[in-house]
Amino acid sequence: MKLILAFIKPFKLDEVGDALKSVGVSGMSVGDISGFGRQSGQTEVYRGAEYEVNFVPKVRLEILVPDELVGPAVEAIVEAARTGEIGDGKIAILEVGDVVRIRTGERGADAV
Amino acid sequence: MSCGFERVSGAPTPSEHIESFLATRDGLRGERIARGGAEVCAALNVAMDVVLDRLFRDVDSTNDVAVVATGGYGRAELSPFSDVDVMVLHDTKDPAEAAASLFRPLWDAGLRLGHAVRTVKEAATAARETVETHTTLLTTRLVAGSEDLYARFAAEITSVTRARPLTRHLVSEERRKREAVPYLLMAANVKSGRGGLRTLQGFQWERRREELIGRFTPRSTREEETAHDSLLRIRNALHVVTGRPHDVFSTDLREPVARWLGLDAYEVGELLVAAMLTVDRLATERWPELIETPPTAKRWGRDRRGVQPESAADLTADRFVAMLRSGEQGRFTIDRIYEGGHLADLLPEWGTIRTAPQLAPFHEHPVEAHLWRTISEMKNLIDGDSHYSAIAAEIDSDSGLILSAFLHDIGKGQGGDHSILGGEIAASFCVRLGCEPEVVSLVSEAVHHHLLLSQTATRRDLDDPAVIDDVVETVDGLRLLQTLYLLTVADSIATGPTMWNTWKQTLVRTLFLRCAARIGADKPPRDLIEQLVVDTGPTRRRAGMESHLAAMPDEYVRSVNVDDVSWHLDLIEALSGDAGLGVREGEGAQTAVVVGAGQPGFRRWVAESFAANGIDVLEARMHSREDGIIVDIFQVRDDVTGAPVSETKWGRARADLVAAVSGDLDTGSKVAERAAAYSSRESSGLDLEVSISLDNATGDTVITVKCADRIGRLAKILDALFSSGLEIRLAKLDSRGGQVVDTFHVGGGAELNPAVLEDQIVAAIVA
Repeated sequence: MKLILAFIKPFKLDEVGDALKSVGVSGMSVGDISGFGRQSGQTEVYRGAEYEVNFVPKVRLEILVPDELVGPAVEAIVEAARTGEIGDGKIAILEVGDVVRIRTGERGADAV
Repeated sequence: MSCGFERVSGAPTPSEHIESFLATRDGLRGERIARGGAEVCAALNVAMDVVLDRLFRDVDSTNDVAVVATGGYGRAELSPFSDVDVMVLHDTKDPAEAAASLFRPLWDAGLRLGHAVRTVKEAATAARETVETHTTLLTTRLVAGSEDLYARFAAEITSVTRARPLTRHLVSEERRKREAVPYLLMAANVKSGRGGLRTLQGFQWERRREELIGRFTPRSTREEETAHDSLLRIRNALHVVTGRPHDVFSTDLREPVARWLGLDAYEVGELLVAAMLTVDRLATERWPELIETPPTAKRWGRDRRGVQPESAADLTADRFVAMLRSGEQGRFTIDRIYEGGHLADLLPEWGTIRTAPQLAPFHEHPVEAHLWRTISEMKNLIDGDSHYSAIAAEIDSDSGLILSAFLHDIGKGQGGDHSILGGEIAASFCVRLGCEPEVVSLVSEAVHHHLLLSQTATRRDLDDPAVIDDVVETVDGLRLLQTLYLLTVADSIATGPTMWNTWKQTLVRTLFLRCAARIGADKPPRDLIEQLVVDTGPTRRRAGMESHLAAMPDEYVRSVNVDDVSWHLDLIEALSGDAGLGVREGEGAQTAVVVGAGQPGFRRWVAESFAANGIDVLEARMHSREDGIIVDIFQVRDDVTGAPVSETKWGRARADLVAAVSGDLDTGSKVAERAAAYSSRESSGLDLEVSISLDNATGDTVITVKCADRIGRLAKILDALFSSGLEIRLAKLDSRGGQVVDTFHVGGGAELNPAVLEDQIVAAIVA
């Protein structure tokens, strides 16, 4: 089992969600986050005053998947989240020791 | 004195009775009793009375002891997992054994007791010491034991009650509650929260006190009883589905609570909101201090008439907006108007949304409370943070902003898209209210598009220029964009913490700033710049500066400072019908300002006067005042020796210009003479290239002319542009190695034909 962490542009959330469902991913957690990468920050001007955005808003996805779904899930995220512009985001894949479904007590892949 | 139960006798042991109570309570999980409200409480009360009565039989010295139900149990409002408030009233030296006999089996069964052991004197003292104990002991019942003892206790409590008015305490409690929860919550605490059972208990305590001191006491009204029943039903449901004394209607419990009550989640939400609204309004009617200035000692001898309802017929736009701005006072008044049936003609849709719940987890408040909070947040934006308040000042319609906040969700529950319907409803309402057409339009459009910025910011790519274009096209103007921005912020804050945080703020602000920049609002507002310049000018000059700036084009106002304006005014004042020329040294270039009365051909003469005297212009900014006065500003290149243009040269140029204006000199011929004299230095080919494009940011046409450097070419190009009816705003002239690239930003010439213009320019230069 793996935990996929994906950092994507906020407006890509729905597309990525649909893409994950289409490859068989049954659930994910979503969080609003802000940060900087190569995209760095941005500056806007209004009425002569500058407004700096040092941390760019992103969405973080956490997806638990069985090993056989890692490839399709990552591919689905990449395809759906890519705009080709800087700031499209990152994906990290982490090894997971065990998973427990609280309601039933199931463990491992059965609990994913 | 009331016991409210039928005493049982016979075989069952105390344990069996406790089991029976627990079975009654636990059985509720599978089967609701009646509608789940007072009937449930009654069943539990009876079961508990039976338990205590049976336990009491095992107590020695029963003549000196009474078991008294206090608090919620005393009021027969025992919910499934409520504390059982019991007082052992005694007249013995050692009540410990009696108390233990009564309480220990209940503790052993895991029941939560609110217990006390007191003599009559101790009970009276405790009631005197704290209001909380006093109110707990106001509504009691004798469950078992000495009636004489209970009668003495009741007499003492009556005496304490006569001496202590409760209203101050109750108002203060209610005020604290409203400070903690300024707007009704969906996740309401139905017991002790705003609009909850505790407030209704306050009404009961006041009535009980008046009864005890012998005053006429009106009974509770039907609407109070309905609200009480609704709250009790929801509280009981919460206890049953959680299996504990949980009194908060939290998001995850709405479905199970609804199932237990045999309703759907929306119906339960509506039941709760209607009950809380009623409780809230009844409290304000009973205690008008809640919406008035904090009470003084004198005012505690209160006027019970309360706040009188107003008639909708008196409502003007100004009065209505003032009411909205007044917060709780306005909310109460509008609710009274609605209850009086006066709002139906003006805003019939209010009835639908007034008690509408909002079940989505991100909604903190029901619709009505959300609207009032949005108004409050809008007021904070108008009066608070400089970023938002500056935008509100630019919009210059506080009425429009406040009405937009009040009406933005008015389309909910009407069937269909609530934004579109809301826009139509808002327009009709504002017209009925007598708002100015401009306000009607602003409010209607703002309500219609109130989700645009929020949805675009989170669902679309803000780096895509097409997205910005879409929004700009939809809002069609800076004022609506600004209004939507403030409405989005106020609405989001008023929705709840998950809807407004730094993350969302960054997205919405970025979208707004990019759209505003597309409309040209990245520049400061013109009136602010004018004000800054005027305010920093010498006092004697301020009036002149103000009228001068007001009559000058935007580009001028945005590019000058107070010294420039003062200098230009000096030149204009010295102008005697012909022309004026001033020069100042700058870093790397001189600045020359030419003023004139706006005679036809004046700018060509200026260009020719400069060219005839070897003055090379790097940049020209050309401005015409509303009264025709020309104020053109030139950045001038150092001469061929690298030194600034000499005063002698400037003197000759000034003299040539004055002579040209008065018709005494043909500057064109003079330029031609100079061109002939220097022709050997100029390259033979022209390499002429003209391009014409549109500047999207300003709407100006941009004409770029590339050609070999020629003396007098600027005058020729200007001539060609003027003869096409174009207004030159800015000219940038770049000369390198015998080649020049001249760029002109021009306005006017609505019928401009680029091909014709290009031909005219080419012809003028070649000539």
